[in-house]
Amino acid sequence: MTVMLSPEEWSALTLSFRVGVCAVAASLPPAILVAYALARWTTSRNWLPRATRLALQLVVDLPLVLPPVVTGYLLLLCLVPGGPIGLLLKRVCGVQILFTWWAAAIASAVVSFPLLVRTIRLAFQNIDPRLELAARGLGAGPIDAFFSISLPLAYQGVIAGAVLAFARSLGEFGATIMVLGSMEGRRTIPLAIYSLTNRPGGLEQCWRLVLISVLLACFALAASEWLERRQYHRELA
Amino acid sequence: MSWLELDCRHRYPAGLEIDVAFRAEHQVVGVFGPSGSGKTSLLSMIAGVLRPDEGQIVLAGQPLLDTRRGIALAPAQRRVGMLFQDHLLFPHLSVEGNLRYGLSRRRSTEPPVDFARVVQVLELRELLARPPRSLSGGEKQRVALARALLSGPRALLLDEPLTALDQPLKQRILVYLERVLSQWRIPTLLVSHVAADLRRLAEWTIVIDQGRVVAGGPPAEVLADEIEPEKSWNESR
Amino acid sequence: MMLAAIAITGCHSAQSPEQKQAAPAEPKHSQEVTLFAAASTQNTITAIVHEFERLNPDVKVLASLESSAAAAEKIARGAPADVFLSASRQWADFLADKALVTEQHELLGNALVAIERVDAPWHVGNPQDLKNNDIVHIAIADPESVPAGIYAKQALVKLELWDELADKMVAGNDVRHALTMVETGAAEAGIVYSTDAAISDKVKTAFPFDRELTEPIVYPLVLTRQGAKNSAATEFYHFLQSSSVAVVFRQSGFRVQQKSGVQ
Repeated sequence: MTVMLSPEEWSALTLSFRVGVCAVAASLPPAILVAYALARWTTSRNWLPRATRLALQLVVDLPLVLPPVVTGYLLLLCLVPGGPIGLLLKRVCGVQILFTWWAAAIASAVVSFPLLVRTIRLAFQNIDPRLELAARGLGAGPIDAFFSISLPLAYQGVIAGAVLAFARSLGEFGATIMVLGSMEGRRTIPLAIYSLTNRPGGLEQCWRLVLISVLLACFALAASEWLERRQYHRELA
Repeated sequence: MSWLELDCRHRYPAGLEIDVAFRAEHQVVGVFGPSGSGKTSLLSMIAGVLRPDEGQIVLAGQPLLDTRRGIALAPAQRRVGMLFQDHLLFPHLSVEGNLRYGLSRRRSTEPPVDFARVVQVLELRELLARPPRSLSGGEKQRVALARALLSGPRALLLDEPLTALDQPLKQRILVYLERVLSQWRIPTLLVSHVAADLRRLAEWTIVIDQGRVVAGGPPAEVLADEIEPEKSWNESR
Repeated sequence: MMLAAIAITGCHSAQSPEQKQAAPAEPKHSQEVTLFAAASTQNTITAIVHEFERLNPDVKVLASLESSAAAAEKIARGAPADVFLSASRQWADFLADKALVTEQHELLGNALVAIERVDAPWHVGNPQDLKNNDIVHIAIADPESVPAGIYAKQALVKLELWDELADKMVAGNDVRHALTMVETGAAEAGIVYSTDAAISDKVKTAFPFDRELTEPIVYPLVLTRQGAKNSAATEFYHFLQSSSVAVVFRQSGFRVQQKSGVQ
């Protein structure tokens, strides 16, 4: 029993990090936008904005409750060469991303998006919307007010959400296996663990990856909890 | 020559119906009425943060709103300085950051405002580096007033600037307010439900009740019969 | 007990009434048999279990269908199992090494085939065609842990194609997943068992792999030490080897290796 990681474990670890970082980085801007819309867009009397908001909320939250395998399957159908996204990418960029780590990043992004949006939305909801009105009265346009007031005030919530989404992405299995597969040298941490457990004596070999997963998850949860609390305390001040 | 002409109607889903029309000719015009009578709504319409169902608002000859002609200026373009009851200082900026927020967003065509003079008149030099949460209520009030002044407003909208303060503090803020009003001579709407404050500061007062203007005239006349607890303090005659 | 009267759905002719080794005494009490079986046998084994229960109303078969690896790990860790139908020798041997096996017999054989979609505009006629540019991805099961994937890799290595095709290979977490990849068009070709190719009407067999390219593709049937003490389990173990059941397995595309006289 050596504590050193095998090349296979290293590749799983680095792939997981790369996928997680890209997934979070790419989904952060749209998540902030959606979270802000959901947080502010609450008071309308008309049915159309209310229905739109409900639909948006539903679409965003769906991956939270759908079995990840189903999310993965739907993604697969979109990404296959004949699928809507697959066809577009092939025509426009001439690339096929199915079974590459890009596809895994997309799967992670989709699955962790609801967590990201929820955390950021809470951060925005904790901010007095009149602060933005005050900013606009002082000469700031709506976009200016958002970037100079709301976003800086919500930034701890944004980071907490990003950490949480990153952790979720590290743990992603169901959707990832659908679009990445489980090929040697191309497995994320959960895929590597799953593959190892299917080999004779593999259960004993995967303890290092299991340990790493548990530690990363604990760290991420603690960090995001701490950040959210700080955000909350600051709002009280 | 009136600096403000207003004629607006707005109905809240909860029931209150506002139907106000008046002209402001004096520099400091008081708006008197019990809470829930529509005073804050009136200021919000002028500031552009509440869009009335229909009506017109003309400030210094420029239409801010005309629902029939489809005119509705964004809050940032109206250049009115609104002072909220609870100050709404930006919690993530220092006092100086708050003061410079509006200053840096003024258009170059507008007349300059002397930062040093505002800081001096409102005695803010010692506070510049501090975060808003460390300020007392009176200090916050002065910072908010300075911030509004520094945005170069064509009119000041003061929403119950004295209500949250205890008596000794209120006396000191009154002094500051009088100083600002006399030094900069900015047209001002002063909302209050305390007759004594209006008698001291306003040259003209309208009285609002249940969304309608019920009286208008010199404070000493229209407020003469008002019964209000502050009278017992007997401090301002 | 009239095993000769067996009539499992589907067509098959009259049975020779030869299987009488089972059921010496009529079981009076309700008995249970715990079966672990490889996921790739799912459709077939379920039908067979139903038939056995119909013939033996007082016996309940608790069937657990999952990957052989998961099943073997559970049995090794003390899960109660009487009969285990493994998808590869490796997992039967794994249990035998732990002295958990009383008896085993390589019941079923399978074959490896290349598949493509029925509507594919290309045709893969032999292993060399897998190198064509049309074939962007080749789906197999996990080549390190799943038997079907291990065999597929063995065959391609033997053909000296593995290294060349390595970048095209994509792996599912089991053989049915590899099948799905081809069905959805995610992979242009795949390598699966002939039994899997047979259950999908979206794919067709492109070509079969020679049997010599892989180690024997067999499904050992294992009677565990615990199962040997359970008369109903022993009976079920032998039932699975009967010629009437063999017909059912053959209908699904398995080769059946009839046992000759081992008791």
